[in-house]
Amino acid sequence: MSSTPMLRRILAMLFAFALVGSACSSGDDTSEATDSDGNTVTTADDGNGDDGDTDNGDGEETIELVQGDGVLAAVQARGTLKCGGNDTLPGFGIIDADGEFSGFDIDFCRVLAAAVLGDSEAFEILPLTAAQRFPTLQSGEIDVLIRNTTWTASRDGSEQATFLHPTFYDGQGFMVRSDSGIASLDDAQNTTICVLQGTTTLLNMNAVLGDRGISFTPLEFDSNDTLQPAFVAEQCEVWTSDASQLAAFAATLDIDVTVLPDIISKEPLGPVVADGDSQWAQIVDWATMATIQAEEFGINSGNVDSFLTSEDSGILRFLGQPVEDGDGNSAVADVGLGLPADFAYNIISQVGNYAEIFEANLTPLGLERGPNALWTEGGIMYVPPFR
Amino acid sequence: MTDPLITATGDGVPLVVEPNTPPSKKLPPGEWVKANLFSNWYNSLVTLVMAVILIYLARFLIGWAIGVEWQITRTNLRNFMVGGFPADELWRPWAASLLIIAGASLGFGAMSRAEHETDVRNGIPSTKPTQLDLFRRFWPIVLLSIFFVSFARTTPPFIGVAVGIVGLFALREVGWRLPAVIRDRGVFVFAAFLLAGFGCLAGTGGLLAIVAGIIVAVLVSTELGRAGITTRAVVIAGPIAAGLVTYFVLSAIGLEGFGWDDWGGFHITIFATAVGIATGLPFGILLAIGRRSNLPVIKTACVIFIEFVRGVPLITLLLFSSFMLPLFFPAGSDTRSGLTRAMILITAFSAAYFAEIVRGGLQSVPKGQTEAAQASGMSPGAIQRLIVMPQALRNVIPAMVGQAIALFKDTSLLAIIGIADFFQYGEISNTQQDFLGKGLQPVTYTFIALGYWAVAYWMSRESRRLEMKLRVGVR
Amino acid sequence: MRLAIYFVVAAVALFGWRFLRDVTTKRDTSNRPPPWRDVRVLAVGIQVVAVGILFLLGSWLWDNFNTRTDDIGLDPFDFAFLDQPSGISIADSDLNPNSPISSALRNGVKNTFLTIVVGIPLSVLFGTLIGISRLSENWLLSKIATGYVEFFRNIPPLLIIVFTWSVFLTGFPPERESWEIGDLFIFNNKRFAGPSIASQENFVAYRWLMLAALALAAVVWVVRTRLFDRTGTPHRRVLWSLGTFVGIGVIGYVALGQPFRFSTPDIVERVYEGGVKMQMPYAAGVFALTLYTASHIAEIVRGSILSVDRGQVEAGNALALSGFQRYRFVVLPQAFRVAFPPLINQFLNFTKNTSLFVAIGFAEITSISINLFGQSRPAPQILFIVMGIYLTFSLVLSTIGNLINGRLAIAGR
Repeated sequence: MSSTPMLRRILAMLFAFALVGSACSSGDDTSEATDSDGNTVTTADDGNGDDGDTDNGDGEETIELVQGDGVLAAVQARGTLKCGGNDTLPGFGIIDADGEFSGFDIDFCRVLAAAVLGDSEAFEILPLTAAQRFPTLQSGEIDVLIRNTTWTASRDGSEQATFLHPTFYDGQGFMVRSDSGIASLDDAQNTTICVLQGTTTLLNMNAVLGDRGISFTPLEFDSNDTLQPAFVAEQCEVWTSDASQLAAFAATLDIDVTVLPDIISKEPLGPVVADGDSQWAQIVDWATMATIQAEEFGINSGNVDSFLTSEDSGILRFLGQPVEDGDGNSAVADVGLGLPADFAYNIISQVGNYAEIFEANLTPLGLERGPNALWTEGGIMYVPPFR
Repeated sequence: MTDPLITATGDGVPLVVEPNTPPSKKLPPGEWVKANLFSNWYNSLVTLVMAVILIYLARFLIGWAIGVEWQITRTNLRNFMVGGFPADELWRPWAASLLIIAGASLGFGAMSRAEHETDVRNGIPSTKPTQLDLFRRFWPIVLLSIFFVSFARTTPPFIGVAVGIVGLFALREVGWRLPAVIRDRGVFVFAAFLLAGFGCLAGTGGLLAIVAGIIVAVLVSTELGRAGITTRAVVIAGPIAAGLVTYFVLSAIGLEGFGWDDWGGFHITIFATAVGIATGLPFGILLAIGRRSNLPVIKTACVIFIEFVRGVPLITLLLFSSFMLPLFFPAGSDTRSGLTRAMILITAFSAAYFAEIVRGGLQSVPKGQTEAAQASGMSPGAIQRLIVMPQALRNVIPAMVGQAIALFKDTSLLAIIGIADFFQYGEISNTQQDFLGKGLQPVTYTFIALGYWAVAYWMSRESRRLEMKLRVGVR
Repeated sequence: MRLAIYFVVAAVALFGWRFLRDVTTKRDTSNRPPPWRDVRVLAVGIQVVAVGILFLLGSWLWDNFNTRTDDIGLDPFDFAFLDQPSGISIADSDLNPNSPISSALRNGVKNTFLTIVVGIPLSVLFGTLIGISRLSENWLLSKIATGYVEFFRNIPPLLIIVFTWSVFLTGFPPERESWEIGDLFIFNNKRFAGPSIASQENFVAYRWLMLAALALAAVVWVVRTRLFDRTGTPHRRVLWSLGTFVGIGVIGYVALGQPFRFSTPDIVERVYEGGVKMQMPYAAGVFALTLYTASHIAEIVRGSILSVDRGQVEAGNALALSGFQRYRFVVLPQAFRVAFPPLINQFLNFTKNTSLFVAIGFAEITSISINLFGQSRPAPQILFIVMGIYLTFSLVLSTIGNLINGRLAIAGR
């Protein structure tokens, strides 16, 4: 009988826990109900597990919930922008010796922070692995994904992701040692090909080489830290990746390498946001495009202030300066995106235009503008008018 | 089910008393060589072969180490140590490390004095450990700090490491000489320093306030016990009130700091290990008790949990934290950072392993102990708390250190789910413009390996020491 | 919420029932403790509460899970994706990108299995050697063995695997400069190849014959052992069994008209023809994990040898057994019994650590699952399958281990 006090205490404790537990769960029920007021959703939260018919209703409810809050409002309330990025992608997202993120993708996160919050430093990068990108975006952990992500139909369709204006047009290429005797992809019969795990690169490689009847051995690594030594030591004859990555390594490797002429895919890389908040998507889109428009106008971070008094009303409008209308009244035009009128000015003065971002991050890797030049200069960078 | 692991290394070899060898005679060098290296033809052969291998290996390693360019670790030293921690706030990790070292060596000095006095009282010959003894115990850590700091490009790190090393030795002496009143509470001294260190890094409030509250409650409770106060109301209400007050005061102070999502590098590696142990152990004890309970429902739940977690690789659990755990949070809520989610799974992981160790310890306590306690009219709670657990835990301390080592090594898997830990900074630094494509991976791997090795080796030495001591003390 | 009510109702019913029973049956309850102090009632009560809490927690998590998966349009019970094309290919397998995901996973299981089957015996062998070396009277050997153990035991296995792989990568030549040992072996940093048996006519029949020969050899082994036990005639069972096996093999080979031939490996235009081959990452990974696991096993072996009563060794000495005989017949059999349970743990660790091969490009099951995550295949199902596979491996291994352990224990005492 000496055992009862302890058991009693346990029992009391467990009961207490049970009560707290049930109180908590009921609290959640009610809060969800109030959040989605306006909808005729009742307290049927318990039921959605059993009842398949209400699934659609639930989905809509959540999307509306997201709209109601809005990513923009959340970002402004938080004061920082959360970007999904990369910390081991040469030129696009790295961590420098001071522990700071830098790179092409990182700069576009900076662009967005400057546009939305007026401060290009008000951002956080969450480094993600390739496989983590979309789950993280879906969970709302990041506001925007800028991590070398290829725009494809299936991702747009089944990942609850909205792809926005590409920041970089890439293509999948192949690299070999110059002394390997492989001059084009057709010579690569029976070779071993190094590729990063879990990427579209791997899928493209499998599909295209399969179609062309080229048999090969895949060698998949989870990081360039192991892939690069494998290529140098000739464990694989061919290295496939985005052409920009190959160019970066081609410029730095100690061995002579050749990038094959075959480009087997289109890889438009750009920012991605979660489905269901079109205002936020438009903001990200136009902030990105502003850098390209700035280059087209010839505005860069050095000379942007001199354009504030420009004669060109298009430029004034772009920079959020008052524009005189026919009647002599001058007013700042609000395009209605939900961004400050001078967002483009903030972007250019704090980060720079597209050319500056490109030259700061990718030119040192030996990359040419190529298709990423302006449409006026033979490239395909073309953005809708800012008016 | 397999037997629990119950030794220092976690290897599960039953405690073994090494045969009492007669004190070895000092042989003159010539005879010693003959006796130990060339006693017969195959021994000579083995010696020769081993010597050749050893010389070859040493020549290769030394040649490599001399020829190699360490610039990459020099440039990235800070990254390796603290990751992207804001540069102008670096005093925080320094202060934290130094405070923890100070607390550890104070507490350590106090505890070794207490042990010494107990031994003296029991008539066991014991002398005060010398500074050399201390160095013998801590050399892997001391040398590792010196190795790390040798890559520094500015002066402050040198000063920090020097202060740390001097502090380690000096404060141990202070701890030894502390007045008995404080010395007897060495654990709390250590805890206070630990919390202060953590507070410097992460600010007060939140986790810190909770932990501090619990510690103060425990302190008050033991103090009441010492003072001989047994009034029920005071014994129960006192600690709770003190704990709550501490919690609210600390939360109210609200010193700003940096949460662990801003940490990186070696810091994260150490931190993940510490949290894995600190949170895993209580859950592990509960699971072990649950598994031994004769209530079928509770027992089954515990067995399923333990066997499931122990049956799958940690990497799949981390993948779970990365891909599936967010799905278990309420829709629309904050799903926590990747590191926090990983820590939840690491806690579950270490709890399951600790549970098996504790279970082994519980089994090692003779049933007579429980029966004797029951006969003297103790309640089951008191029996567990005062009789069984102390003996059980004492028996498995070395195994727990073994598990701590395993956990420390396992944190390297955080890199695979993209968390910038010590291991991951190897790849990060090889991606930088200056080092891209230069094939410096062997350099960074060596650097990382030495970091892991020194700490793990130090822990395994400590566990072996503990094992020897417990063995001598008990039997 | 509803659950909490059920809960209270259940608790009330429990106590009420007892009360009613006591009242109606007019039992003498004077020396019975009140229900809230009755151990039997409390035992049931606690469990009901525990079930309730688990249930509440579970249903809360489950609700969240369902809501979330609905939001992202995922059906966690839909396993139809297993029949879709995987889009991946695996080295040295006939899997192509159009094969279904299920066969990709099966290939992964096969690869994981291959690492375990080869790696565990190697680890035991190597670990035992190191463990014995630590106890060697040769000072240099024992110090080297100690150094080995202390080095490998304290480094993360992931690092050891990557390190070993790097050493293999740069230590072995590239394919075009492969080392060849006669015509029999080829070594380069892609693959290792060796001779094998290639089937010819009647090979199936020959295989059955050899199986029978194996059985016969086993019978001979047992018979010789029994004979030895009975009469003390030297058993020479190895010689006898091997003789039987080889004899039948040779006779069968001639009788069936050369059912097989030896096939030596060759590289023609980067294609490996003949022989057997293994990928370098496989070899490196198994080797690395063997090094790591052996360092743990060595400690187990050492501890268990030390646990053998010294008197046993002295008795062996008294019988004039040689050093080897002392180990083989006196010490090791006894030590093995002590060492076996912790060894099972190491086998399980080995199995789980094979998941780290993901870092060096060997397509075992974890590596394949990460590839599938990258293609945004449904994570819950894939994780479920992968964890299930590892659990199965663990369970099978520990069951086998426990069976053997049971036999050992009975034979012992």
